[in-house]
Amino acid sequence: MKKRLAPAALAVAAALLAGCGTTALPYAREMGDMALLRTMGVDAGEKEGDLRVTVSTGKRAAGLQGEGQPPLILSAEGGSLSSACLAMQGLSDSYVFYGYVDQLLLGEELALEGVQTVLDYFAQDVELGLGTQLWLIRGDTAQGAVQAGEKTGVDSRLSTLQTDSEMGAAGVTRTVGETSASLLEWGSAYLPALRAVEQEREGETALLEAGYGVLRDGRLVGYLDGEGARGLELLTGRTAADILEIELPSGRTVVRLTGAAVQWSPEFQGNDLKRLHLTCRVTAALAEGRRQLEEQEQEQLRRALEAREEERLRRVLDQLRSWGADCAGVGSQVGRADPARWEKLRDRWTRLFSTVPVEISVEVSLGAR
Amino acid sequence: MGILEPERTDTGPHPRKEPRFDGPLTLESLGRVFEGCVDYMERQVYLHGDRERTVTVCYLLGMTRNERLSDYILRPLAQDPALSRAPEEELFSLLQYGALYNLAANRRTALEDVVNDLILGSCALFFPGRADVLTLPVPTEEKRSVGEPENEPALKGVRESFVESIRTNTAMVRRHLKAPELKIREHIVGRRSRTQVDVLYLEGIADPETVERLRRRLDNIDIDGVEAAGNLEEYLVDHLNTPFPTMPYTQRPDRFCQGLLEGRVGLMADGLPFAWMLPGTIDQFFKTGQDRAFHWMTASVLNLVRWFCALVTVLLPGLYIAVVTFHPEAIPVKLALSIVAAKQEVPFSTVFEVLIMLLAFEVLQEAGLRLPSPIGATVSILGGLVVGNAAVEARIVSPAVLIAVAIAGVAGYTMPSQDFAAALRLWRFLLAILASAAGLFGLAAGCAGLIYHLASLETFGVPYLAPFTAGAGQPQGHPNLLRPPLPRMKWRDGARHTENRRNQR
Amino acid sequence: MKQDRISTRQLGALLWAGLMAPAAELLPAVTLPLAGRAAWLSALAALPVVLLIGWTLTKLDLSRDGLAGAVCRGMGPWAGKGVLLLYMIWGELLLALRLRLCAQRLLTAGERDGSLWFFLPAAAALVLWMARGKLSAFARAGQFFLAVLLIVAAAVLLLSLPQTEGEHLLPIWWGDLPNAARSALPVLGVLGYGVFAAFLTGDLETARPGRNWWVLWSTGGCALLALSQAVVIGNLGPALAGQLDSPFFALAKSVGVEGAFQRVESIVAAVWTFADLTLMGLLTFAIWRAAAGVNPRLRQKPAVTAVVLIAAVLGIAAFPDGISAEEAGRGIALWGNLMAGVVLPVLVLLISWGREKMQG
Repeated sequence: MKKRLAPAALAVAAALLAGCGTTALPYAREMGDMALLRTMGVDAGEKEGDLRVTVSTGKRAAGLQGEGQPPLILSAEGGSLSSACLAMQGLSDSYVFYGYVDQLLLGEELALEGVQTVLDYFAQDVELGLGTQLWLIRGDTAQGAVQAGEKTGVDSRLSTLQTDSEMGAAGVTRTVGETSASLLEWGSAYLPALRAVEQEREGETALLEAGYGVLRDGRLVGYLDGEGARGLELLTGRTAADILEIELPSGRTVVRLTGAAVQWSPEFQGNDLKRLHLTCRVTAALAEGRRQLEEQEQEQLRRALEAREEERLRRVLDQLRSWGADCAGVGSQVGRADPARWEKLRDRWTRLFSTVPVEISVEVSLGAR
Repeated sequence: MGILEPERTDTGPHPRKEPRFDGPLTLESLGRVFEGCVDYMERQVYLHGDRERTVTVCYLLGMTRNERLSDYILRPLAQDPALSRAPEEELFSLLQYGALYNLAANRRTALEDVVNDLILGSCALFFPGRADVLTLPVPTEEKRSVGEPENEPALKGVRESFVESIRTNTAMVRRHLKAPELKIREHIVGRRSRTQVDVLYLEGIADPETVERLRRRLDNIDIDGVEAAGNLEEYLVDHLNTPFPTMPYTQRPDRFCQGLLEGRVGLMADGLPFAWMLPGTIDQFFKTGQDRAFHWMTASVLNLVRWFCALVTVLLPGLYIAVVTFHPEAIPVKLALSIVAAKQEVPFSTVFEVLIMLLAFEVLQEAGLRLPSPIGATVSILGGLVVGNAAVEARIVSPAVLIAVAIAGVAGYTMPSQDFAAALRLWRFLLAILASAAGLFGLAAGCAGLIYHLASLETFGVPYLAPFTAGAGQPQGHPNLLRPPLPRMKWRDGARHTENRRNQR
Repeated sequence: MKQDRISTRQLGALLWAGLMAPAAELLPAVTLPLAGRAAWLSALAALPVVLLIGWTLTKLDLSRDGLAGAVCRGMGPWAGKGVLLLYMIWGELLLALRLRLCAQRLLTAGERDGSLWFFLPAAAALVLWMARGKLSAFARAGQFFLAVLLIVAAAVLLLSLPQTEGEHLLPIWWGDLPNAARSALPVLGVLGYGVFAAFLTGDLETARPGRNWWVLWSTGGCALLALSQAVVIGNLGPALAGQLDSPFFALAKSVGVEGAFQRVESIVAAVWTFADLTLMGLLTFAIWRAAAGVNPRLRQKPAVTAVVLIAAVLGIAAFPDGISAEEAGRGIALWGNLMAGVVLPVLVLLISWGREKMQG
C-alpha cells in the first residue's frame, strides 16, 4: 500500500503544481523588475469623490557602479485609492511596489474634504503600513510637491526632516498610525505642514516647514503658524530647539530651550468643571553669553522666557479652542487627574474645551549648557 | 526487473555453516584448508635434537612476529633438554604449561579453532599421534604508529589518535581510564572478514539496557565483512531514512573516555581508526574535544556560535529566496536598492541563481576533496578569484546571491561533525526549493518539518533532541547551549538509566 | 501505545503553543468592543474561571485515560459516549475552521497571491504527517515551536514597547471593571481549546512534578496574554486597534530596528504557522483519543487520516469565503468553546458526583 501511495501522491502534487502552478502557488517577482516607491501623494481628483495619487521612487541606480537615474514619478486618478493604485501599474514598465512607501503627502483640498478614507486604506492594505510619515502640503497639491523633486526625488528631503525632528532640530513629525489613533480617540489631530518654495539660486523647488495643520473629524480646520506652532510643540511636550536672544546689561545672551513638560489640573465645583490650570515647566540652557550671570540677570532672563512661553501657549490654546479641536489630548490628561468626574463629562468635552477658562503658569529652570 | 537488465535470481542469504571447517584435526586437513596460500608455512622441529621426537610448527608468514616465533617458540623447542628426557605422553602438557616462553598457550581439538587461531597470528604445534593441537599466539604488531588526530586538532589537549589495531586502541583507553570497572566485550562481525568489534563501558555507570541492546544488534549483523564505517553504522542505527547521524565518533581517546565517564557505551572495530560513543544526541555533534579545555565562558560563546552557524547554513539561502522574491518589504531599504541595482543586468531569476550557486558550491567542495594538495591551491585561486570575479563582472550572477551562498557555505564549515554538516547541506537544498515554491510559508513549513523530523528520531531508546526537551523518563541534565563551569556539571547525562548519576562532590 | 509518554511540561507547551494562534488573531480584537480601554484586563478577569475549570478537571481523575475515560466513567457508558461524540464533532469543526483561518492568514498577511487550494491542503498534509507519528515526537516538536513563538512574540512586543503610550491604557475606573469582566468571555472562548489538551492527560508520565503544575501554566499564560494585549493597545490606541482585523499582526508591521530590519510582519505570519500546526495536531490527537474512548479498537493511522481528510474537506466547503470564516472564528467558535470547554466539564463533574451519591 505504501509503495503505491507514494507515486500516486507525487503524481497528484506534480499535476497540481504544473497545471495550477500559475494560480495556486504564490507568484514570485524579480526585484530587478520592480520600481520601489518611496513617496506617495494623495489629492482630491477633478471629479467629485475622485482621488489622484502621485508616487515617486527615490534616486535609482542603473547597475553596481552606475550613476543615478532620475526618479520615476507616476500619477493616476481613480474613484478610490485602490483603483488609483491599480491604475498606476499600467503606467510603468516595471512592477510598481508600494512596500517601501514611508512618506505620505496630503494635498490641501483633500484635507479640507476629509482624510479618514486615506488613513483607513493605509491601515488595511498589506503593502502599506501605519508607520508612514504624514505631511500636509499647504497651498499646493501633493502632486506638485512630489513633482518638485524631479531630479533628486523628494524622499531624501522628507527623511532628513524626519531625522532632524527626532534630534530636536526641526518640528514634530507624525505617522499615519499616530494621526489615525488620535482622530479616533479625540476626534482631532495635528499634522506637520510643508510648503513648496522656489529657490532662486538653483531654480529648484524645495519643501520647507510651514507650521502645523489641525484636523477635526477628519477635516482640516486651520493652520498653526509661528508662535502658535511653537505653542503646540510646548503643549505636546516635544520642543524643537528654540532660541531666545535677549539683551542683558552684561551683553547679548542667547538661551536655548531643552525641554518642556505640561500638566493640566482641573478645578471642579461639585460635578462641574470650573477652570483648567495649565502648568508648564520649561528647562533652558545658556547657549551664548557670559557664563556666570548675576542673580538679577538670571531673574530677567527667566521672566523674559516665561512671558514668551506664556504668550505662545495662550495663542495656541485660543486657536484650538476657537476650532473646538482638542488635538493635544487635553481631555485625557484631565481624565487622568480626576477619573471619576471625567467619566461624567466625557461626552460634553468638546463644548467644554472651547468654553472653560484656562489659567496658564510657566516655570523656567535655567541650567548650564 | 526491466528488459534492459540481466536476469537475476535472488536466492536469499546463504545459511551459515557451523562449523565452517569440518574435517578431522590433522596436518593434512590443515594443509588442504590453506591450499593456495603461499604464506602458509610448516616447519618440522626436532625436540632437543632428538630425531625420535618431532613437532610440526605451522604458521602464516606475515601474521606472526618472526622474532617471537624464533626466540620463544623454536629456540626452547630446540634447546630445552627436558623435552628429550620427559616421557612422550607428558610432552604436550610440558609444552603447554611453561616450557615455551609465551604469554598464552591453548589446547585445541577442532579444526575450526586451529584455523581461526592461525589467521589471528598464532602458531600451531602438531604432535604426531595426538589428536589435539597446541596453539600459541605470537601475533605481529605492525600497525600505523600513534600520531596526531587529523580531523580533530588539539591546541590544549591530547595529541594521540586511535589507530587501526583494536588492541592498541583499547590499551590507549585503559591508559586514560585506569578503572577496573572498564569492561571490554568482544564480538566477531562479518563472515569473511571476522572483524573484532569491541564494546566498552564502565560498569555501574553505563546503562545496562543500552549495552544489552547494542550487543544484541551486533550479534544480529550477518554480513560479509566490515570494511567501512557504514558497515556497522547503518546496521546499528534505529532509523535509516534520515541523513542526520545518530552515532557520534571520535579519533581522540580523551574525548572517548569523557564519553564513557558520562555513561555512554563505546564501540570500536578492528581496522577503523576511530571509536563510536552511543547513544548520540544532537548536542554531541556540536561538541569538540577542546570544549572542556577552554574557559567555560569562551566555550559557551563558541558553542553558541556553532549553533548560530548551523541555523545560518540551513536557513540563509532559503530565507534569501523567500524574502527577495516574495516579501521584499522585509529587506531594509538601502540593501534592497543595492540588490536591485546589482540585479539589473542579470539574466537569471533569483531562484535559479541561488540553486545554481548552491550546486556550484557543492561541486567545488567535491572537487577539492579529490585533488592532490599541490594542485589544490591553484584551483582555489582559479575558482574563487577568476571565475567568481569574472562571473560577477559579466553579470552572470549577482554579488548579493554570491555573498549569501558563500556565508551559508562557510558557516557550514564550523560544524565539528562532517556527517552533521552533510545532513544540513541536504536540508539546505530542500528548504531552498520549498522557499522558491511557496515563499516564507514554504520555508516555515520546511522548518516545521525539519523540527518534527529531528523530534521523531530516537537512538537506542534516547530521543535525539533529548538535551533540549524535557520528556518523560528523561532526567534533566545540564544546559546545552552554554557550558557551565565544570564544578557545576554534577550529573552524568550520557545514559538513560544509570545507577550512579552524580559525578563529583 | 502506553509506552509513549509525555511530560507535563510538554503538554503545557503544546497547549500554549497552540493557543497562540487564536490568541494572536482574536485578542484584543474581540475584547476591545466590549471593554474599550480596559480590554487588557480581560485575561486577568478570566483567570479565576480558568483555575476553576482546572480544579474541575483534576477532580475528574484524568490520570488513567484522559478526559475520554473520565467522561465514560462519570456519566455511564451511553451518556459518556454521547458526550464524547459531541466533543469529536466539535473538534472536527474547530479543526476545519483552524485550517481555513490559517490559509486565510497566509493569504492576507503573508503571501499576497497564491490560492486557498494550495495552502489548505499543504497545511493539512503537514498536520497529517505529524499526527501519524508518535505523540512523544509531536510533543518534543511542540516544545521547540513554543520556544520559537515566544522568542518572536517577545521580540515584537519588546521592540514596540518604546512606542507604548500609557494614556491609551490608563486610567481605568470602577465603571470600566464590569466591562472588563464581560470581556473575559471571549478570552474564555479562546482558552476553551484547553479542554482538548485534557484528552491527552492519559499519556502523561506517572511521576509528576506536583499536583498543581497546571496552576503555574495557567497563571503564567494568562499574565502573558494580558501583557501582550496591553502592549498592543498601548501602541495603537483602543479605537484604532478595535478597527483593525488582527492588531497583533498590524503591530508587527510597524516594528523594526532602524537600518537593520523593518516590516517583518510576513516573517511573523509565517512563524505563526507553527502555532497553527501545533493547535491542529493537538486537536487531531484529542479527537483520536475521544474516538478511542467510543471504540477502543480504533488504530491510530486510519483514524487520524480520516479526521484530517474530513476536516480539510469541511474547511474548503463549509466556508465559502474568508469573511464567513473569520466571523465564524469570532462568533460561533468562541461560544462553542465556552460551552465545550467551560460548561461541559462542570456538568460532567456534577453528574458524576450525582451518580456516585446515588450509587453509594
